[in-house]
Amino acid sequence: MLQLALSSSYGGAFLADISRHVTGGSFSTNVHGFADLAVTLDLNPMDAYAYFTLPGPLWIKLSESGLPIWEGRVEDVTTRLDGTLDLRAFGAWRAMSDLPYTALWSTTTVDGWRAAVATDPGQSGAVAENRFSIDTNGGRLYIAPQKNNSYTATAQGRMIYFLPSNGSRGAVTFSASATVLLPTGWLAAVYAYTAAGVLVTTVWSLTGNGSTQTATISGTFSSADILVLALLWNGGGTTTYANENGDFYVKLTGIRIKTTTSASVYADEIAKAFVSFVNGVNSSQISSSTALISSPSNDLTDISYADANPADELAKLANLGDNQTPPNIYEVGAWEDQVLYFRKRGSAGRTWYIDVRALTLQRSMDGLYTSAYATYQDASGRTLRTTTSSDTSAGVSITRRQAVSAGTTTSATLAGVIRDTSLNDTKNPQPRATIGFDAVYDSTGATWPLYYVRAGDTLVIRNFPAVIGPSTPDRLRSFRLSRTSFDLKTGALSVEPETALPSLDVLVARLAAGL
Amino acid sequence: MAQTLTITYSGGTLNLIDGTNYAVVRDGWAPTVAPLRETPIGGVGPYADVAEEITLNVRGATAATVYANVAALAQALDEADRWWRGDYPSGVYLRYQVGGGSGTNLFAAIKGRASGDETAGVKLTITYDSAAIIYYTTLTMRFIRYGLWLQNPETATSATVTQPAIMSASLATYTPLSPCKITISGFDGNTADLPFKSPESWFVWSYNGGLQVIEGESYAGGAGVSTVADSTNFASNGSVARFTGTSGVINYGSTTYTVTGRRLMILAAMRNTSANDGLVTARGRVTGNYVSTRTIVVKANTNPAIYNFGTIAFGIGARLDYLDFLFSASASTTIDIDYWVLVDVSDSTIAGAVRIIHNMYNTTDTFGAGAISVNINPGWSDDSLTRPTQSVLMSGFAASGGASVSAYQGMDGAPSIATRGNGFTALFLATGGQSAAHWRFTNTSNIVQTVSMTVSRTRSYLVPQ
Repeated sequence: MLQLALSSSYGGAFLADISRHVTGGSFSTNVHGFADLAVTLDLNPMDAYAYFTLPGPLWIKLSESGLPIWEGRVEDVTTRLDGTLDLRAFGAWRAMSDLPYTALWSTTTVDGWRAAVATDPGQSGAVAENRFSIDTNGGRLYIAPQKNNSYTATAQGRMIYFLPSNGSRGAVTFSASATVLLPTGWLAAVYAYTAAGVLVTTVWSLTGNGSTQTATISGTFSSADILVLALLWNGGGTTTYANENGDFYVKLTGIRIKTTTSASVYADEIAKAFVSFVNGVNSSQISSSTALISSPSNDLTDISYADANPADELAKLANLGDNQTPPNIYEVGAWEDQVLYFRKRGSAGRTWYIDVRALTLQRSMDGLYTSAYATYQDASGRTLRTTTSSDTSAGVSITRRQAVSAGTTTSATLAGVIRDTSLNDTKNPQPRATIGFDAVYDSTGATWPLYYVRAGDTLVIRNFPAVIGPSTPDRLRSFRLSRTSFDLKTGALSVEPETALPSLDVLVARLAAGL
Repeated sequence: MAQTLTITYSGGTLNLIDGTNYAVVRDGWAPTVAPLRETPIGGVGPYADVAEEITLNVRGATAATVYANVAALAQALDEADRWWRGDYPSGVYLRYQVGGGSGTNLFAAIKGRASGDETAGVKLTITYDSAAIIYYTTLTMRFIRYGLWLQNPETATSATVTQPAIMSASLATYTPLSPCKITISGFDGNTADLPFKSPESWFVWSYNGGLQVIEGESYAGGAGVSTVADSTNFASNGSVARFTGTSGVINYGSTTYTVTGRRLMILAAMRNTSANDGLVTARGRVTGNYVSTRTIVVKANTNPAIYNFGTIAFGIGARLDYLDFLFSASASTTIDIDYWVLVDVSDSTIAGAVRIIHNMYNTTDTFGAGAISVNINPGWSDDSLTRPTQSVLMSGFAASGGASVSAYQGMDGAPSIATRGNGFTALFLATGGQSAAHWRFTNTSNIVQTVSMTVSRTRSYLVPQ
């Protein structure tokens, strides 16, 4: 039997067993774990008001022998004169929507770089405005002195980049390829500053020698909020530049700023940072454990958040796929004990077997694509397109091609992964189905309570011929579930396949007697 | 006609067939048989409530007496309604003894009025029966009662055991599903000012033969596994099985198991002494089929605790061949298992577990020596008349003022404890005590706690007999 209980918070003081007061309700799961639970309780009015006025959010748990079947925080409370009380709770995944998150993780574009002015933090007394040619054309950072202008060590040409204001992370690495063609006495340098304009360190510098010099910049430094590329006369006193514009310059290409010392920025590191961020503010809402976060091993070259919802961003990261062939889509959410998971989709799901007693199955080409390319951009923001990839293994004889957005990444590799991930997920026909069944079984034939079925689990129709199925689930004979809903009063289960389509895609099971 | 049909409430017992104050009219009542509940939510028993309808003449020597007798019925149902809703201390119950029946003193708690009840909201007309020289009115009572009829409880007590030994109690043979109250006694709180020092404990129950405790270090093999002595922390049998690494397994062989069943629940006493979280999954095998539980996170740097892995199930009904604990971690972890428990929960109405959360005491409370007990109420036994909610009550506190007090504890899981036969076995499992590092609950003398269990079974009847 199940128990429904209220606590002051997750792991907090036990408040009440409310099992016997439940007159109706249901709980659901979705691709992000425990979704919602709604129950109506029949209480005496004083108890109802007492629960209503308790500071929250309370924690509600439906358990079997101490094992969570559903748990989450109570967000909506409604009471009435007759003492009925409606509670609606949401799973721990909800905590990832509580706080906006701002941080740069990695950037390889020149967006955001501009000419520094004296009023920028730390730049007063160093910048000579309008005496240099400065541009970001073609994805480069470029500074060149202009003919007949005079220069001193404090009349520099500077380009500046600000990390997001009051972000959670500071820049700790800067890398680029430098081309320096400067007369003797001139110096090119990259500096790191705090948000207040205090110099953190000189990341890199190179003195001109009249010839073209190249260098690979790879600097690691303490947390900084501002990066500056500077060109200055370092020979003492004042010099007048007599050459033509463009004869001498400093040029940086292939730049990358990161806020981690990791060689690559993988989504798991970001997911762990989200967990740490939310747990640091609301420790009772999400576990600090990152044990269920695994790495897709795709380097995310351009990833920055400004006032972003961590839940939304995690969902996007999960859809980027991993570095396998074909790429796997990931899943993210939280089940019991508030532990966030970020892992290959379906890797922790169970497989259930059903015998259908009613079936309507319709195949559709809606959402079917046998070919795809991805759009991404170069460092200057120009839209690029990958080559096209095709997969007709499902036997569809025409080409249906999809343009997949890879966002702002400048990585052709990552864009290709995103393309292949999408293609792998859409190459098979998408079914529309209505299926009725009475019970679920595991691979040994054992019957299980219907409330054990969760989103992410796979449902296999075992009395339906395996007519198609290059992959598991093949979506005709087997489905991965994107949503389940269990009625606490009647014991009925409703499920939806992951490719939920507008019309029929609802499978309904009725609790068999004794389950 | 029934031999006994009464309603008991705070004002006394109303005899509905005494012929003086009440008389059920011919064919005015027959007991309703309860169906099974559809909901899986516990706390009120597996059978649904039923509506009873009793048509009776309420009688009296005067019209005033008739009204007083009607008022008593109305008050009884009022109290029942208020009791069920939680604002009246004692329950109201219907008692029935069928003519020629062997089950005596059957009773069922009344939960309040049903729609159409005529003890409230209707106009009562008094009739004078000149032949009988009596006043009367005819009305129909309608009320909701618990689905099962109960008999007075019978008890059996186990021997005193040292945890995690199994406690067994033998009851008289009675096969219908019947609720059981449990009292766990013998806690030696000593005289120190100590709260109950285990933050949580577990009560696990099943039929006789449905429980098995297996020492962690009795493994058959594995990868990354070793045996480590830890008598300092009162490990059961003095040692634990230790997994170290990022991926591995501890497996237990085919000759280990005495418990069989279609659904087996697995609990284990574990700790993680490393700085890294670890993942543990229990996996059973029967004739080549592997079935796994969901994965549990054992957090870094944790003291011993009891973990419930959930269940594995086998449709083919065979004996469990192997059970593995699979380990994984992103960085090397060290996870110890002192013992683990196999519970046959194939029939979930007679087996299960409840985690007791000991956070319901006042820090000024103290314990009296040997007086502590834990009382578990399934919510649908005779105890429901005083508290119609499944509950765990800890008794024997000596409050700061010196009076003995008790406090309801938190719980995780429905203690819907019941039996179908004559054997009842259970485990009381707890870690901590004098030190959070202890594998087993220790008292102030640093001795592993010994306890006994008293089972109070209330025979139930779907149909009065």
